[in-house]
Amino acid sequence: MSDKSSSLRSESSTVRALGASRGKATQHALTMRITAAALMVLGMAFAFLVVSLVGRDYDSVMRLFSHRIGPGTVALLFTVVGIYHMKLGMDTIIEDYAHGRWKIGMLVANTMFSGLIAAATALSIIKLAVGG
Amino acid sequence: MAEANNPSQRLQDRRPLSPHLQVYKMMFTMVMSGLHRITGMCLYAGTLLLAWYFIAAASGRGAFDTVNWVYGSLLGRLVLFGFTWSLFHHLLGGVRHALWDAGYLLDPEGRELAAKGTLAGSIALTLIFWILAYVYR
Repeated sequence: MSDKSSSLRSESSTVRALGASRGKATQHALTMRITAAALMVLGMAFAFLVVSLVGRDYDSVMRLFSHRIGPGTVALLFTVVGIYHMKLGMDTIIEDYAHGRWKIGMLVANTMFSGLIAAATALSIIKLAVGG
Repeated sequence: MAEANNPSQRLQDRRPLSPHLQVYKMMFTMVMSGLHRITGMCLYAGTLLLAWYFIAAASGRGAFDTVNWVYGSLLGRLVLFGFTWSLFHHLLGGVRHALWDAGYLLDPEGRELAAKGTLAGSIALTLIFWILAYVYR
């Protein structure tokens, strides 16, 4: 470690946030639980939406999303909250199994994949809602 | 100690490892713990199916008819069946974790009950979902 007499940093500051999750563990754990609680409701609501989507043709799906607010709201919330929860969960899996450069690379890839899927899906749902 | 003093072996390789899967007898609660992570990873891949449906619907009639045909095919239904089971299993696994966070079902009997309940509940919810899907389509 550095020479104590010549450094203004406290000893604890030199070791804090060096764990696998880089000091974000408490926020991570809380966010996982809050999004999980939301997803219990959203997941069931989305399951009902999917049941009503089964067998619908193109025109019928267009009508459903453009004439009513509920289905699009459920789909959008489930997508955004679900993908955020999924991104955080995958961060944990990567931190468990990957180390060093692999870990950093996979964490970045996870963020990019999650962001891309969330943006493309959310934009599509909004497009359906505002009229195809 | 000859091995430990062998300088050709890297320090990292000589360090003791904490015991992992291979030293424990397979237990039901262990498998269920693993399944929670595995179903989570399945749902990760499954978002591509979710994304495909909505992107196709927003892209036009041709793209939507393709995705509708694929999801309606036998293989498509089989994959979606696995996807819905993963979703319900992971959802109920989350309920189990919430109960543990609140201090319930932490004793051996409680753990066993929670694990059985999660598995039975996920199968029941999946079957109810598919019966509803076939009835209301």
